[in-house]
Amino acid sequence: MGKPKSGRSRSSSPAKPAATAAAKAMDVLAYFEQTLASSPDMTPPIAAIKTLVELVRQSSATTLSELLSALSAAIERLNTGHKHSIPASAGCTLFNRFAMKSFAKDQNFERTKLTLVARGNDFVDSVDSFREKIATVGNQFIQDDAVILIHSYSRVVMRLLQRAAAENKRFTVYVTESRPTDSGARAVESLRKRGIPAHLILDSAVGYVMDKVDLVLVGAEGVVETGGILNQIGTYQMAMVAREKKTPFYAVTESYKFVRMFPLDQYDLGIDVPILADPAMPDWDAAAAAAAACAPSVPHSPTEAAHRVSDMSVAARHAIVEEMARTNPALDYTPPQYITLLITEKGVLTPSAVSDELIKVFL
Amino acid sequence: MLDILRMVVSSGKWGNVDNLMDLIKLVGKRCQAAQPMELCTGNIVRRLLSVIREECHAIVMEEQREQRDQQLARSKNAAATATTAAGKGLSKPASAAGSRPASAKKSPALASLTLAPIATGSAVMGASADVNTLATGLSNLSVTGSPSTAGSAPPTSPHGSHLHHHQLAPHTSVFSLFAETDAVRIDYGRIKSTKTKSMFVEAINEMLDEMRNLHDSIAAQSVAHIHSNEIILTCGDAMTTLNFFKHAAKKRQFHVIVVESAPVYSGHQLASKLAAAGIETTVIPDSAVFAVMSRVNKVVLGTHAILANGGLVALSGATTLAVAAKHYAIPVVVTAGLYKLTPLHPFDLDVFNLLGAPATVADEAGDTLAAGAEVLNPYFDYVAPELVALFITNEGVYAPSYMYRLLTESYHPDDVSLELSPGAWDRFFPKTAAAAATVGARKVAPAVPVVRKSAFAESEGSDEDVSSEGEQ
Repeated sequence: MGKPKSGRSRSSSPAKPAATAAAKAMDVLAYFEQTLASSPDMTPPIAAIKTLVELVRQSSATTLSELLSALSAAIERLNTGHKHSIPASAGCTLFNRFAMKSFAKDQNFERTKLTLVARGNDFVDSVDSFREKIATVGNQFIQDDAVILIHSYSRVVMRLLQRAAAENKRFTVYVTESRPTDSGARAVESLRKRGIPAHLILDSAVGYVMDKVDLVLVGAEGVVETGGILNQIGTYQMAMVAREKKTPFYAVTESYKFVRMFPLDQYDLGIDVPILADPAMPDWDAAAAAAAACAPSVPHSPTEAAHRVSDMSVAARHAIVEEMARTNPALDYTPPQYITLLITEKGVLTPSAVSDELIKVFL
Repeated sequence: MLDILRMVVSSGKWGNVDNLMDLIKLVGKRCQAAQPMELCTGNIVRRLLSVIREECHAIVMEEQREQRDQQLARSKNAAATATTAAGKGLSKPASAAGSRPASAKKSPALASLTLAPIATGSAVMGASADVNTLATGLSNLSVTGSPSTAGSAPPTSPHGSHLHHHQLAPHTSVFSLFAETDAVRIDYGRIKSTKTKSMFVEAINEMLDEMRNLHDSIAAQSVAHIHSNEIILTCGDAMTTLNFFKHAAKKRQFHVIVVESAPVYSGHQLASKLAAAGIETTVIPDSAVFAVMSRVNKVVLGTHAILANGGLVALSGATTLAVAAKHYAIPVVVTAGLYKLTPLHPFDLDVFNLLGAPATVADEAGDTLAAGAEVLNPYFDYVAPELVALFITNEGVYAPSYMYRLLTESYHPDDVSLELSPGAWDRFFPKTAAAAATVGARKVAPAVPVVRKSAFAESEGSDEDVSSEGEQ
């Protein structure tokens, strides 16, 4: 769907025929998927870093250029062709930069390799503390009697809300249903378990609800150079409505998600793969049947009766929904002018501060 | 505030800089708590702490450079003595190679060796191995006798100079998430008062001078912003705006409309001062702002504080001016000293506010009003950053979106909450009773238990300093 961008091949990179022993010995993508699935707290950038650390550890390269070429091949592999490529690229760029700097600083190849692995592992282990810090920083934004709107299930946002609840703040939460992942329901359950009153709303009811809302909190899959964020589809819409209603819109994210991209519009994201085709997605037929079963039994008008889900043939519906899955994006880009503040573990940043932070990384 | 801090620095009994910073935070916190809305108290404290850190950093860099030079000299000697008689001629290029790192400044690898008692074991090991490889590298040279490899031996980093220009920045860079040992960790406990006391007192004196000349440096920029025959709208009675206009009036003819700002009527004071300076002045009531705005060329305001997102805490009435100006696309210019820049966010619009006495509002109406209605008299207003076009400060002209940058440059993130380091309180109180007597700024005994509790509460929670005061 995206326009071809330089540096992103449309097809996966050609198999490396015995180029380096390291690349052959380790299937980078498989390890990545496995790491990502290994823990509920794992995020794509961290899984990417873990993968690269493992690559360095397993590498039998004896020279710097061998290792670096193995690394760049692996990064190429991780950055294209799968649904988590954008957030993974943030982790990859970070690790790559760190590796370059380490090798430039210290001429001893073996020792630097060990340092890379040790530091990388330390970083991965400390990731949970980032969420804690974010919860601390963001906690002050939630006041008593606040009505908060969140989008889908974001672990960082959940942690923040849990912290606020733990400090006995009174607030209610509206959660969008977040089709097609339907993770909104999971968020509602999780919040209610902690005694936070939560309500699930239709994705299309965001405008309806916005007048009642005091602030909007969303997570991010990636933060781009403009200061905008990439997040699950529906975020952009929410941001636009929030701006119209002058509701503060906060993006809650860790700083390792900063991506070196500068999208000018939605279609600039360079997403090559239909990311929506997720095998873990709910069964459409069952969902349709369930929807029909619990839909209000009295149609408001004869036309509504005609359009009811259960009247459509299952096969026809299935076909159309399949097509949607193939062509609809899973991520959208929210430009910085819609974001009030970014809450990161480095503190609260204005969107204009993001590019400054990025520059510091790449100094 | 600076006078108090100068007393603390010069007469306080602090052994090392670590203690000093804690002591300053302690005093600053008390003063800020005494008057929570005077946000600049906290700002001055933070600025001083940041200046202290910079001075210490310079000291440490100096020490480190000396140590490195010594070390290189030592390893050069070791290599020289290890050479055979035949290799003596070749040891000359080796020592030449050795002297190159001395002239190329600051190797971060060696920096972490000399400097970090806090550094992790691997870093220390790595750095000491570094010195050994340097020595062995040189001795290898002399044995094998190939001067061509001399260039690759010294472990200087091509990025060395970059890293050092931003020594205070790496702790905030994402890269530092990985490389803990890259940033030079300054152990403030090692830096003694004897070396630094006079330096700090001088720094404070410089800051005081800066404060005194504040209004002049802002006013000097006025000529660029005010043009002939302009109509300028203002409110409040800020010294900066007054001087701003007076300075411009020497070279330009312009007209100032002053909003009277009930119930304080500070506009009346400003108008009389401006008229005394020979500037054409008009006073209007607050309700006339929107009506008059279309005829105005610019709005110039003072402010009580500038928040981290570029928003303002200004006197009541400023938001009306700003919103009306936005409607008519009139630029709003704010004149303020940089000491007003506060590293706090307006997460709740009610936190940064004071309610004044309702009597000033409802006086004439008498008892009926007082009995029947709630009379609110907020003293401050929050102005969103989108409504402000420009900040004219003593250090130049900036846009609101740039405020975050000035913040990171002026204050250190560790100082934002003015929290004492753990254990500092207990360390202090027995010792600093004497210092308290000389400082004379603190009411000691009865207030101690109260402050102690709140200090602990704040160190456990992590609420912003001001917010917890605001909830009182």
